[in-house]
Amino acid sequence: MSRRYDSRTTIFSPEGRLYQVEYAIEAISHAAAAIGILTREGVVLVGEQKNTNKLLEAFHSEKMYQIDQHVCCAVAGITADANTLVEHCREAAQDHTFRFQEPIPIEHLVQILCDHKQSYTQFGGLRPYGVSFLFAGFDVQYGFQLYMSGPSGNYGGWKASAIGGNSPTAMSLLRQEYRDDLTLEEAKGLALKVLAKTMDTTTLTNNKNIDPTLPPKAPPPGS
Amino acid sequence: MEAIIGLRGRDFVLLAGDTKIAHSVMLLKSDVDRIVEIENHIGLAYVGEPGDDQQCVQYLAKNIVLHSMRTGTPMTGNAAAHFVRRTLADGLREHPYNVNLIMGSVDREQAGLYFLDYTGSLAEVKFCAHGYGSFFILGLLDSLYHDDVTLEQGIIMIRKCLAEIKRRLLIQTPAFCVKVITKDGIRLLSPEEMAPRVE
Repeated sequence: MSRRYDSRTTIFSPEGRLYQVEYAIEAISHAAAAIGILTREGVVLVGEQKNTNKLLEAFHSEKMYQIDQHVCCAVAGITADANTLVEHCREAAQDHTFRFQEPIPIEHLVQILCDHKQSYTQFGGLRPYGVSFLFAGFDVQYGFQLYMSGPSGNYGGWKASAIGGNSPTAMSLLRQEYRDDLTLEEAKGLALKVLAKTMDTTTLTNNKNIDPTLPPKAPPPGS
Repeated sequence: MEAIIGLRGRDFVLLAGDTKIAHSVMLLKSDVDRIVEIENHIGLAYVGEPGDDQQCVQYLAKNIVLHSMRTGTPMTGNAAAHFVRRTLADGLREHPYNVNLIMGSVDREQAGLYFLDYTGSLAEVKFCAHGYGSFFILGLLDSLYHDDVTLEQGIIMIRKCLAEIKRRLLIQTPAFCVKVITKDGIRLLSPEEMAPRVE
C-alpha cells in the first residue's frame, strides 16, 4: 500500500511522512562514518574511508572537502551527490566573497546549501540528495563552529556530532565523553576513539582507513 | 547637491550633510535629513538627483537589513560598502542611479569611511566630500586632518568646513545635519554641540 506514496518525493504519506527523504537518510546510514568535534581551539573532523581495494589509487579523499579558506566539510552518503553539493557550496562561498569582499559566515553557507537540498523535498519529482554533511569553519562573528545537515534540508549547530554508519552509537559515545574544555589534541583522540568503536572493523590500520583533517586555520581576529 | 562630508577617527565617524532639496530655482525643503541610519552602526549620506537618491538609498538600506535578518549577523561596514558599490555598478548601464554616497560605519570598535560615486567606484578614505561644497572642503581637511584625531577635534574640523561653505559657496546653505557614529550607535549632534564654544 505504501508504494503509492513511495514513488513521489513531494507527496506526504497518510502518516505524514516523506518516504523518499527517509530512504535517503537510510542510504546514508550505510555509508562510511564521519565525526566532528568542536573545541575552543578549533574543530576536528574525522572520517572513515571504506574503499579498501588495494588496486584503487587514492588520489584524494572522498570524505573531506575544503569549501573556502575558512571552512571545510566531511560528507557521508552518495559521493556523486556530495560532489554536486560541494561545488554548489564553493560557488556560494566565492560569490559571497565577490559581492561583499569578506568570507562568507559559516551559518549562511550552510543555509544556502540547505535551501537547495530542501527544494528536492518539495518540487519537481526528482530524488533528494543522499548526503549528510558536517561543516567545520571559523568566522569573526561566532568563532569556530560545527554544523550538521541531512537530506531533508534541516541543519543545526553542534558541539560534537556524527553522520553515516552507526551514527546513533557514535552520538551516544560523544554525549558521554564530550567536555566543553576539550583541547584540540584531546578532541582528535576522542574522535578517533569514537570512530574506532563504531566502525565495523575492529582494528584501525594505522591511518590507512582513517582520515583526520586539520581544522580550518583561524585567521587572525579582525581580518 | 550642495555638500556631504565624512571624517573618520580611529573609533568614530562624523557625517555631515546639507538639509536642502532644490527644484530648478526653487527651494522645496530645508530640513531634510540626508544621512540614513542603518542598523545602528552604519550611516549613509547621499547627494544626487532627487528621487533617484531616495529610491537608491532606501533600496540599499532595506537590503542591508534584509541580509542581516537572513544571516542573523549584522553586515559589516566593509561588506555593506561593497554591496552598495556592486548595486551602483550593476545599475550603471541599464538604470543608473544618479547619486553619490559617503558611508560611515563602526563595527568591532573599528571605524570605516567609504567614498562611493554614481559610477560604482569605491575608496576607503580618512575624509571625503561630495557636492559643490567638496571644492573647499578637501583642501581644508588636507591641512587640518591628522591620524590621531579625537571626536572633539573632529567636530571642530567639521565646524570649520561648514563655516567655509557658508562663507564661500554661492548657493547659501544655512543649516547642516551632523551625525556621529561610535561603537554605541549613531547620534545626531545638536546645534549646541556644533556651535563654536565661547572661550
